[in-house]
Amino acid sequence: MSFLLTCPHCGTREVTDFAYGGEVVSRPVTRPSARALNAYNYFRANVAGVQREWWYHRSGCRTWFQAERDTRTNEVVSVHLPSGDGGGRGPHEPGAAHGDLGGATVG
Amino acid sequence: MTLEFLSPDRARVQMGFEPVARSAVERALREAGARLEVRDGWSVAADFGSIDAELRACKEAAGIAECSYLSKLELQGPGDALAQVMPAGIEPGRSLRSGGAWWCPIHPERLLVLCPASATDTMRERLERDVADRAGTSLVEVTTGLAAFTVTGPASREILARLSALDTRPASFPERGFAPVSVARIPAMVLREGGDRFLVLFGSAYADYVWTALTDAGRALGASLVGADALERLAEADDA
Amino acid sequence: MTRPRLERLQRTEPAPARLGPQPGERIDRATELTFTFDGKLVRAHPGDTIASALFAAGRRTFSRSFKYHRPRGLLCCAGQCPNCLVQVGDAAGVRACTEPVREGMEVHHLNATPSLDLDVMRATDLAGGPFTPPGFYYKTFIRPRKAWPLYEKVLRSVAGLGRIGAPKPHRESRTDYRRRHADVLVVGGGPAGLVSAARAAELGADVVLVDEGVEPGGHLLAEGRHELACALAQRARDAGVDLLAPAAALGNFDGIVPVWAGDTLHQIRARRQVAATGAIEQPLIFAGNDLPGVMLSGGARRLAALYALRPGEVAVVATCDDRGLEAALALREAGVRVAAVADLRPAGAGTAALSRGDGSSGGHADALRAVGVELLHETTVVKAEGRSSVRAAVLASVDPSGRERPGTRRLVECDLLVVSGGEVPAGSLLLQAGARAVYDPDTGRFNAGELPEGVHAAGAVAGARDGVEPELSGSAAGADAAHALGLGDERSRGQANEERARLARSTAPEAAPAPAVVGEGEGKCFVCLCEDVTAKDIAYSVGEGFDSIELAKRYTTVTMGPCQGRMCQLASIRLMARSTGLSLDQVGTTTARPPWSSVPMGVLAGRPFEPAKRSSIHARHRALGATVMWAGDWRRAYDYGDPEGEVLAVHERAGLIDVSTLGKMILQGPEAGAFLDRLYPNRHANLKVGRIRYGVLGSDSGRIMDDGTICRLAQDAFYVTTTSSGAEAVEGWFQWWQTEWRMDVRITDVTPALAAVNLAGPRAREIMAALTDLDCSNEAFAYLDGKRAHVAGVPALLLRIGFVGELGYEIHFPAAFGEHVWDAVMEAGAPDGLRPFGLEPQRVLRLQKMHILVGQDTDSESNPFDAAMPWIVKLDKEDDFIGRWALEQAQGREPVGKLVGFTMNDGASPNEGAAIVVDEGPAGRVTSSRFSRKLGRAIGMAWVPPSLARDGAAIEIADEGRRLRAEVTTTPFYDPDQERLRS
Repeated sequence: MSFLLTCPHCGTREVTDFAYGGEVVSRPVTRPSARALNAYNYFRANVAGVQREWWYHRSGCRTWFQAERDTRTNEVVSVHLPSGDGGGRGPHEPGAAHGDLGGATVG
Repeated sequence: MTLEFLSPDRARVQMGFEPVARSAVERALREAGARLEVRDGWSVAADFGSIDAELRACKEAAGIAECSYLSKLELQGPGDALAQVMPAGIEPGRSLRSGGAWWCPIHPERLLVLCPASATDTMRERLERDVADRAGTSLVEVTTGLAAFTVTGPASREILARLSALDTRPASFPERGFAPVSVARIPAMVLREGGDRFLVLFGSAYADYVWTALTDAGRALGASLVGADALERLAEADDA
Repeated sequence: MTRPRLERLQRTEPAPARLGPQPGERIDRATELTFTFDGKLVRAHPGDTIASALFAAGRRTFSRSFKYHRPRGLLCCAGQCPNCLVQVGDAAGVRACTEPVREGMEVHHLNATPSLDLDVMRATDLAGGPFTPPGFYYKTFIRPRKAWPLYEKVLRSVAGLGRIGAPKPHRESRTDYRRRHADVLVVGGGPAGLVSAARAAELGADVVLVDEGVEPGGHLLAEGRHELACALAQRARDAGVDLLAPAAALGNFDGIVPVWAGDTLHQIRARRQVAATGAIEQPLIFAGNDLPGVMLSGGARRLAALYALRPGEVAVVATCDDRGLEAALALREAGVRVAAVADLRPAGAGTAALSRGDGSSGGHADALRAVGVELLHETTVVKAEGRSSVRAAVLASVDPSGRERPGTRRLVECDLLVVSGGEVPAGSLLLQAGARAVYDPDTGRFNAGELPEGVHAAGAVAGARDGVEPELSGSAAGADAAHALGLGDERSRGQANEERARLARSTAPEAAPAPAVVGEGEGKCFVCLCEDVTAKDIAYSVGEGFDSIELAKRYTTVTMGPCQGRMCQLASIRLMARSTGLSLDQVGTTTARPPWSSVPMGVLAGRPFEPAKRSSIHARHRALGATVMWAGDWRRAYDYGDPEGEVLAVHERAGLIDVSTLGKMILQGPEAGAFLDRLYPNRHANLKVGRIRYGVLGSDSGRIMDDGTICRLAQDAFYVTTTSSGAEAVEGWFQWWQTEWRMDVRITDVTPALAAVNLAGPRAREIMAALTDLDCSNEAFAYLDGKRAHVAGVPALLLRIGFVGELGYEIHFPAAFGEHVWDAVMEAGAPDGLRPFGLEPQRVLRLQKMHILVGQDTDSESNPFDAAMPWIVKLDKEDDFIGRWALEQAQGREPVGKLVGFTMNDGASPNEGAAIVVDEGPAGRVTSSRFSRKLGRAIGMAWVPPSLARDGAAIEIADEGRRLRAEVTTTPFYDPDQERLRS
């Protein structure tokens, strides 16, 4: 996989300069039911086609943006900065699977 | 000042201690024959024996220099507020040289200002005043957070091509071009200071690693290490 | 030229001499150089390849085949086939036919014992032939299973080609990547490629052209049209084309074309690509078709034209198109007696007037007849006679479906059997770019169908007609590429249109499809020379049920050898069609995959990039004898040789640890406190300036993601630390939510800007007093206070936190003073017995305090309630925060497990990951486990069923067959009342 992605700020870069942030999912606005909360936390559409997804220009300007990408061909249809309307959900959570040895605790 | 602990120039002689700021690759510089000199609180590689030879290398192949002693100040805030702080003429992807400093737009709401260590205090005070007046803006000194290496000379583009996917053809990345992009597989920023002079900035914890990668790639293409004095002469020649 | 004393030549082979000077010859006759082959001296001229020099010296066998160890000779002389692979120094698998000779190079043969001319493994061919069908190895050497180690030893010694040299000292062998951006990349330096590159460059594009050959020109060179090749190359250079040669394009990786040249892998990213990769001449499949002396027409012509070598004395030519007729004429010119030409086409073929006017009135057939060469139609070669090289060809008449007509055989003596089985387009790069292979019934070949955006084709790869008019095709493709980039004008567009119209009027060469196989039953008919796959093997594999081309490929390994299907793909499709009764179209092709050309692994490895973060104090740790290890992206000190002593120093006197790796962020803005309140489950907006609070970062599913400290520097400024390996992810997490919320807060990562050391132990206060004029008394600088002061003259932020469970100060300061501050602290602490301590002692110290290690003690399901930190969650906060809803639900639910501490009853430390056993079933696991010298017992953390999560509960641990007993503890093992921290 080495397609190009265009950061709305920096322009076109190799996809390896970015971190993938997963599908764009809306965070519930008010307290959800257990079922709705689980759907929000764990369920993804995983479409074979164009999906809206988060990307982080990790090796660049460190901006989060959204892309419409065809998951079958990696063709990126469009990129844009999010509107910031609060309707959304976090990207892939920071990994817990690392054996970190440098934590700080004052407990 | 709240964030004084980020400013190396706030170090002082105290209780018998005489702190000197040092580059993360100072050892490598010394081993390569650098003449180190304390300038504005930093231990700087002034030259590697012969400024003339270094200038010749920069003209014939390439020179690689350690410039982490440059001061770096990061401004953040809404685009319109930042526009009032920075000199006119900065556009996306293009930096501007003004008042002895480089003004580099990381994105519309984030600006990196590079200036000589000697000018830090003045520049920082000025920017502090500017952000104090403007809601939503702030300033953080990142001088020691970013290491900075210069690659200059006709082989500089070839050297960068060994380390980065950045398209440095003049049509794509002209003079004053500024690009946040990965170099040697780590996050970095590249500033095209002049025709074939590039300044590469990146997280200082990677300095040792990048120095090895850069000098190794450079050596294969005839690059030499050059000191701050030769670099200054080049800049003077540019300005003249 | 002096005859080299190479070795005893086979007496049946007359020694060939170099021909007189050829117009486009590559050798410099005035100069001589020498190299060795299997230890014997070989003389050559600059410009020779290894193969041409050896051929000149009389060598005809160049390799032994992969499986049967049959002798193989030069076939393509163009780097396409596997027949001349040799070892050069430490490099295995070098193609002798394209590798230029260098003075003193050491060349060895591959895959033959004891020598090329006498290979004992040939027994596999003579005796084992019928008994070694595909799958033979898997089926035979599996029983009895116990004997496998022995089989393996024997098989290893006979498997593989070549040998890898001894490991070299660091970086002696250097390979590199190089990125090249271009407007247009042209692959292939034949006439089509050269013209398309020149045309695109003339229209203003930045063009790179790569070609495999040592000089551009492609098939023109073999055809003796050297002058035209030079002229076209000059036109390209004059237009500013960046010409890379010899350089092999390896594939297409989503638009990046890796090109191997020398020690460098050029990664070329072009906005448009032009494939001008030409077509590959195919062999014919008949009995003994692999004997030395069987040569493709292009190979024979290259030997003559480029190296002035007579490829044989007496030749028979078997062909299915004009290519063979042209070759026969050319070989005659080179002094070869052409005994017969067998043309698969019916009488009348080859008589059409030539499209390239060269003065002759008729076609090649007429020219051949005019010089008295016997031309046989509807005839092909069914068998090559000879044991170690060709002695004669058996010709026979075949019907249009490719079946031999009985009673038509005749034997023609020859030492050179020139074959030409038509051509296949070298379309791999096009197919890899996304084009589909489409069968063309008119020409019997698979062409690349509709081309993907950004990709063009020129010359023979674009189609049979384009192959006839390569320059025209190239010009049009080059113009198309430039026009697509917005270059050119009305005139150039008009010219391109006209070129296209002219191309459409040209006609494809007349060709007869080659039969799938002839002469079966009279010897092995090889379809795949790389892997020694015969026509019979394909039929056999279909019989075994591997009846799709993709399956047969994997079962027989046809197309999987060094030639990557160049010599065998079409032939294997034809054989599959014959065995399955399907049409070629239905059989289809195998997927085109990189690499298209063989490439050394070292070149793919390139420059070894291994990004490593180092603290600015790193050199000091090394000097102190630290064991350095990876911790995430960082290189860190594991210990300084005495982890237990280091722990005790912290408890009894003082210790110093480098914690520069901690993630550090500055948050500024009036809403910074509110921002943290939304992210963390506890409160931060009410934190007083100059005070510190612990924070556990959670996700919306309630999971613990990271932990750290938060210090309020000012009303609108916070200093946030994270775990070392979580730093980058947490910054990204903060940035993401800020993207959503757009609050009045700015986030700045200052992780690399600041070095940090933690000074801990009962003597820490006295040591601080020697370093700073700050009042460090317990009253002035209390537990969980954050202060700014100069330490050893350096501006610093001091955090009084309980990192390792003793009185401690964490000093954060500009990284450029790392060694200065470290040295100053170590010196100041020397009278008090201060020792540096590493990660391992830190782990023990923190475990004693039951500080969780995120990702070690927690996993993707752990929430603060279950991880024994319910106090960190403030569900009575007024506003929403990340994870609130999930935590509300978790609070009312009985958890599956709870995180507790445990003490071992009998002293033995279990392994981390050992199972907690209840009723002989797994019910939890050990996450941390260490022996504490300070406490005199083994302690740890474990997930246990909630019923056991109480002080004093007995648990059983199953660990590598042992059963261990432990007792649950829910309060810290060491200083549970925090007295030492607050002292």
